[in-house]
Amino acid sequence: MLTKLLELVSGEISLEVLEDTQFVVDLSKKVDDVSLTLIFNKSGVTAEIICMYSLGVNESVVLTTSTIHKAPFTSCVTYIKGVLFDGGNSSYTGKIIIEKKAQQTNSYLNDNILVVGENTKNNSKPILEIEADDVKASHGATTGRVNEDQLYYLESRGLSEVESQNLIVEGFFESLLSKITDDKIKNKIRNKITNAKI
Amino acid sequence: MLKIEDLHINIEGKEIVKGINLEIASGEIHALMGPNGSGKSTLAQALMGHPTYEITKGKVTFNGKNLLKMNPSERSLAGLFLSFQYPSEVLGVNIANFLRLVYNKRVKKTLYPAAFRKLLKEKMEILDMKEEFMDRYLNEGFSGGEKKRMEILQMLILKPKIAILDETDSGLDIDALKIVSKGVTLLNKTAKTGVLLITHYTRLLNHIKPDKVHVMRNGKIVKSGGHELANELEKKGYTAFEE
Amino acid sequence: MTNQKQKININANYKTKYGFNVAENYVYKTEKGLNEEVVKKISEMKDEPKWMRDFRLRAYKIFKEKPMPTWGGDLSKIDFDNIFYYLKPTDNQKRDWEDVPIEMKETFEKLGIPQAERQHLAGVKAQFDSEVIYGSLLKELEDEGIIFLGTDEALKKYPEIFEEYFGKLVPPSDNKFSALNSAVWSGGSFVYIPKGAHVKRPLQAYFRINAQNMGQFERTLIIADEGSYASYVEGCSAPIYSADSLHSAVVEVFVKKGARFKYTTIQNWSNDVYNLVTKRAKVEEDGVMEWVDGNLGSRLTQKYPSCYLVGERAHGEVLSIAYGGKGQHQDAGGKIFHISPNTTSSIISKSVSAFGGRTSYRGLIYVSPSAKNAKSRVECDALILDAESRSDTFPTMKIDESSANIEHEATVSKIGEEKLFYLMSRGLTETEAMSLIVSGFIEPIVKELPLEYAVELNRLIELEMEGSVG
Repeated sequence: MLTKLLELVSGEISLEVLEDTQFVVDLSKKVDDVSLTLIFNKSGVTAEIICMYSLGVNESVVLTTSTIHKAPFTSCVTYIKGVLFDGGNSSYTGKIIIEKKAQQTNSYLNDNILVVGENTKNNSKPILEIEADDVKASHGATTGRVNEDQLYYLESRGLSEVESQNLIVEGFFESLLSKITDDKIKNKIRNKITNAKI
Repeated sequence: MLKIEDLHINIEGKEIVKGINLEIASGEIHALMGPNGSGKSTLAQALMGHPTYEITKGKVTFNGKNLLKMNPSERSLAGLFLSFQYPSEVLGVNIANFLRLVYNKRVKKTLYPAAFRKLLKEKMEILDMKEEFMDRYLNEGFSGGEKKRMEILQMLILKPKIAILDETDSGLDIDALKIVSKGVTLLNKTAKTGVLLITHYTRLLNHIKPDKVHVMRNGKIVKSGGHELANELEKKGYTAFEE
Repeated sequence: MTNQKQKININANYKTKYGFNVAENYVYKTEKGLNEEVVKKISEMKDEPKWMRDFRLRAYKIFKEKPMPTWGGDLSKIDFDNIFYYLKPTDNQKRDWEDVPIEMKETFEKLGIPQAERQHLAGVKAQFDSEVIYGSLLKELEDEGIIFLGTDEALKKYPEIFEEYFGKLVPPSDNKFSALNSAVWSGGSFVYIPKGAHVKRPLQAYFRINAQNMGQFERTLIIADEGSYASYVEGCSAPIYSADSLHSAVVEVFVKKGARFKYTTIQNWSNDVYNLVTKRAKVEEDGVMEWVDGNLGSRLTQKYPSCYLVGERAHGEVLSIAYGGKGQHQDAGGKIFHISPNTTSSIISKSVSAFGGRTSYRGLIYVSPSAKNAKSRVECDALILDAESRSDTFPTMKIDESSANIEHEATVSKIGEEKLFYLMSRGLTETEAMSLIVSGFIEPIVKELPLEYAVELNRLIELEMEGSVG
């Protein structure tokens, strides 16, 4: 699979997926209503959208992703992971649209928010619009606070509260980072989200 | 080394531990036995500093210092270790990296990844653990037995002064039990680690020989003795030991 | 089946049920369409207190001002001017048994609906003559201090309670259709469960075929006082003939401290009906509200039972089944508002679309700031049975509090070839296999229904499946 890095700051990007591609999205902190649309007109193609972000005080993200399946035998998985520190504010809309002709489509969406700080806000709207029957489509969205038991467990091994929190945040992103096939891009993203820590 | 004086512990306003006195010296192995609900795990977790347990009375001195004033991290760095009854899964955290991180926090001579992995491999061999476990995520997808072995591995790496083992034997088959016992006994002999074994089965004590045995009921220690006490328990059961 | 012409049977109960005190042979029918005069006439016919009349008039104004909602199904064909907003029962359009469609008669036969009920359901008989049963069961409830009456009657008998609660949870200004209902409401149930009362049998189970619950604009008000347990069931899974093309009901439920209430609805309106309902519950400290919502019929249903969790540790649940067949659109779901700390909620939605039908799940989970430690789980699953049908999910999670724990999962799929094959290899026909799989799919919700509904529902699924293969 080809890996492409998309640096989104504002506005809408609409791309037609012509070959198997992994789209890694890099969001600038001052993201102001960004939308990424992938259109599947060509049969047999697979794509992935991977997006990770970390928000601190007064930082916000407004993001929309849409995968529109118009041709049969395509598949797409969208992974979004965000960590909210104090005052972080995220708003995410994820659409999976499968048109009537797009039989045998597999499309999935996963949106996970880990809340570390206080005074955070997050909106999540995962949408499915399905007109074909021989498809597999699903989405999952979770929002949760860092688990107290996990924090305590790590602290009981000698880590301070902040170190434990950072380790949990790193672990949260790790499973998604490991999916990025291009090392240069992987490291770029890793640095970006790690530097967001307090 | 570890001195517990008249310790009272509450959970959500209810008193569970009603005045415990216990002293564990360097190199000693103590067994704390009692039926479910007697307060054994509460004691263990409270000693480690679990946030939901409230100490209402009493004193705990560890190596001359006031343990109760320290947070869990400080207690760990001071040399206290708890093998959890239900260890947490922490997703995405690589075991080798994690252990190296916490190891390096307490030694003068820190180790680079390669050297640490060599050390880790040695300890894993003692516990009959396959090398690939090193690169799994912390407790993620582990069976009960695997989690317990992971706790003991951590103990061997961290070399604590006092190790509390909370029902480490539960859910282990006989082979796993032998291996875990091997690890604990090794640490006790070579590093003079004091051990508090918490269990309600006498089976474990056939593999790790305690110097002292205490029976706990309803939040108090009702009798203390030597190894013979374990045999007595085996024969008579807990009901023979009223408060 | 007999071919008889049925006379309309006016029964003395009509007086109390429909709440007017005019002589029996006076026939009144409002003209078609809605205006201030009609609203005034309705209030007059019912002999209502001034405050209610003013309430209706205010609501009518709001109804006129509000635009039609565009976010849901297609409401463009509703002709407000072509509806009778109030009919005395004597004038309910009835028809002859011979005019009842053959499919409907066959369905009754297959579902095992009792003879007398069939005529009523088919719109041939005006009222299910159940006075004897009705009377003695009401007495039982009375003895326990439970109030269970038609809304019209309750307004007269318990005006203080009415004024305290009526319209407080769903005000006319809430949406265009609640405004409409507030202006022209008639019929519905009023239920008061006293403190600490535990009502073992579901209310309404006895009055399944109750004309009140088939009114166009019924208004239901339920108060479950502190520590009480009760449940309420309405509707019928058999197809119901209705001359009315618009059903716009409002249900308000107040669950007080420590009380538990379960409200179950199964609707199977005929295919020309627009079913637009606002159902809302306010749940206080340690209270529990459960909505069980079955949407099988109608041309378009828009219904999102909701819970406002205003007290600590309140719990709200919505269990929703939707079946969207030919020419149908079920737009259903649920909304939960976490307003206080330590509240929990869950929404489970199962939908099936077939023969070109469409089902949409629309839901909202909102956690307000200071609603600490909110926990919520939403699961919506959809089965699309053929290439002509469609399914959508439009969930929203708006979380303004950092300690919330929210999970949402949705899947859309078709019946797997493997599963079908496996069941058929054990001797089932394709139809039997399909209906077994669909039944299994909706099982988690069906098991929450009273037995007779569950049985009917399963048989209905079988029937539908037969249509899909034959």
